[in-house]
Amino acid sequence: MNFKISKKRIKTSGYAAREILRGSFIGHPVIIRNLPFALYLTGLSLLAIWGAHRAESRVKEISKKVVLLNELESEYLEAKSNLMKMGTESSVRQRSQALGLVPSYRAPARITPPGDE
Amino acid sequence: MSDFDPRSTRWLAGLVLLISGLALSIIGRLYHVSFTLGPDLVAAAREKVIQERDVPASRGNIYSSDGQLLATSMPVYEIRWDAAVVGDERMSSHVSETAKALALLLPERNASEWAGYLRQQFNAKRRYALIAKNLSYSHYRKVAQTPLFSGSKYKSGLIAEERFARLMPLGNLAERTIGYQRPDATAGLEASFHETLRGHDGRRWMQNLGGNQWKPMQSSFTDDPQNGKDIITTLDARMQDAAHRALLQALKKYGADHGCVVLMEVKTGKIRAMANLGKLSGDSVYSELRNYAVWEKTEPGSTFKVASVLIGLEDGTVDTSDIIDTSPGVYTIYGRNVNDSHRGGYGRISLGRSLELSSNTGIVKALYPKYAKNPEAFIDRMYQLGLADRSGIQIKGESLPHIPKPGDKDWYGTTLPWMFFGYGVLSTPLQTLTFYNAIANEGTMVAPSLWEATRDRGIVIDAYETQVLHPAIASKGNIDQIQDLLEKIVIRGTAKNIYTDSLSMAGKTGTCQLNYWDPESRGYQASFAGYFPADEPMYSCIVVINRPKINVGFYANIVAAPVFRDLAMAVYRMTPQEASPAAGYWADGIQKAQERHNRLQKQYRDAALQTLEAGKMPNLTGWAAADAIALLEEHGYAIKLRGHGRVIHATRQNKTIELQLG
Repeated sequence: MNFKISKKRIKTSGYAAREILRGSFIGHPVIIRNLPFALYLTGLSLLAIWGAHRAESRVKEISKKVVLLNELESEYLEAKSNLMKMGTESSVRQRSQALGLVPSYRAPARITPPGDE
Repeated sequence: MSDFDPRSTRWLAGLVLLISGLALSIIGRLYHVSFTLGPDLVAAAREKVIQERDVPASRGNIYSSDGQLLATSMPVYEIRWDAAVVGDERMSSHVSETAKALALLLPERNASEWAGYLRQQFNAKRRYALIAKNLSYSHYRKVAQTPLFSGSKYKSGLIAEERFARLMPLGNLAERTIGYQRPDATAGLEASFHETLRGHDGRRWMQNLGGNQWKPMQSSFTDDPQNGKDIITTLDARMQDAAHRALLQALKKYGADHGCVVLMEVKTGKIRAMANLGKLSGDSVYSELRNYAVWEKTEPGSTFKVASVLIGLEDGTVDTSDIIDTSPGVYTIYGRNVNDSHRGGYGRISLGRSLELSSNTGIVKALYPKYAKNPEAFIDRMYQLGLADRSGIQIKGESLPHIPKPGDKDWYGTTLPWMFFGYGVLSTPLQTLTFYNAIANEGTMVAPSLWEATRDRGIVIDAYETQVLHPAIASKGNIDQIQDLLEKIVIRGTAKNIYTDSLSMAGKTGTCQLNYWDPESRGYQASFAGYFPADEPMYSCIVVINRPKINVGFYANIVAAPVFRDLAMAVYRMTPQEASPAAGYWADGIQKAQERHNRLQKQYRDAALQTLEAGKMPNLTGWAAADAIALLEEHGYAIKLRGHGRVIHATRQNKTIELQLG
């Protein structure tokens, strides 16, 4: 393991690495000149990331609401179904029997008073 | 450490080399992943994370003609249990209490069986143990509130999976007519209108967000979903309920095997009720098992005599006034006896009376001599009457009527005379009803229909128009004669037991022997077909009850006709009658009350007006809010209202009056 590397090259590369670590290239005039644009790009990227996160949280929110909606729909239909069953004449007949009520034998008559004709 | 020189750059060069090496290897790896493995990995990722997925369309609802919901899609729940997440302490302290609650909620196991089952799943650390399937939401909530299953799913291990199932809110009413559409079996309107109800599933590119959550990747669909359309049936929920109730009562009373009732609107052919009830052998509960009205073809028996007499009248071969000697109640043809149900017959009676009394010998003696040598004439007329055709109802599986023809291998010398009273011919209850409906409809035969309209997002996009099958099955005079006889059957004939003076009915009884050739399986079928009100027919109806218990009763007038009457009365009660009181006590009384009411109102109004004009506040208590507002606004007051109903209190502040209603 006998490397022969010239002192000058080591010096130069060492210098470059040090400069990178120091971050002195940030002060380079080209970078300084384009800093507003770089900031603008950063802003745009942040906006895009924020939008994507927001969309994802919306999707999660929607799926929670869908579950809730289905549950409420199911509950509503069950109540409606019970009400419909209870509202049928057969069911009313059965329950009113206990009260001694029976369905009328005749059809209801819609009486039109002579004055209203 | 002593010979370490911070100014030396050797170590730094090494570090840079190392980092560069790492960077190079990363770049190399990246190149390998992107370009060598890339296409396969991208495809795999796309399959997992990005998919073109179905966006399911929701299935349309089915409604009754009176706006009641008959079928809809509802979420139901399957409950599973991840026993591996439940702690020992939770399990031991809650298992017995939970088992007791489950035994009440899910009675397929008793409390000790539930406790045993839960312990078994817990010990085996099952991650997906089945608790219950197809639970409604409220049922599922109750299960989820039991001690073991309550709280977060990470502690309770409860897994609820939701799926959509079809719900019939009115329970088993018209269950079979509404039907179902499953991959393995289909029936009823759900099947017939499947394409309209199902809609069209859409497709859209979506990205998976983990779990079962998918985010749409584009605002548009690759294929737009279209929800299913709603079907409005002709069924009327109230009439269906009445038909179901009347039929069920008769089936139970006579211990029959099965039966059906169909109620049809005379002018339009719209079916307002279709009840089919039967029971499985050994079972005592009747339910909608098959659509007997559409599918079951049997020998109609005596209800067919009406067609026979009508054919004779149309051909001019007989007249209802023809006198026939029905004694001794037996008529022998080719060694086989035609018998009357009344021993000894009915003596010398007219053909019309024979129909009223349903005399087999009367009908056969009148018709047989006229057609014995030319049976084709009779058969051809049956075709003309539309008795050989399907009704065309929108339910799959309607049977084709069977009419024997001379030359058939089962055509015997006795075939024709037996056909006169409804044997040898086969038809379904709905086909028989279509014929009776034509008689009620002055000879115009209309097609029966269960479909009223199709609706898309609340707007009717297609509606049923009455279809005429035969403009006139017979001449007006002959139809009138048959109508008259059918009414007399209820007034003084075989169905006089159902006569009532509050509603005129017309119809024909039919008691038919089933499997008369086999003493083992012999039985009866009781039927009644007719219409009401007899003078201005609005509805036609058929009742067929199969195999009533012979020791309880089997004659059609006892078993089937009362079902017809009960349904007719129920329908009659649903239709308010317009009544103008006749002159006299009632009419005068109503008129006087009205006049008095008008006079008093005028008096109050005048008095209030005077008070207002005098600048004072009138007493408005008891006034209808609309009247008070009209009066006060006329006089330039601004009105403030509180509550609903009539005025109970009024306060004035300058030109503003506040009315308290209640």
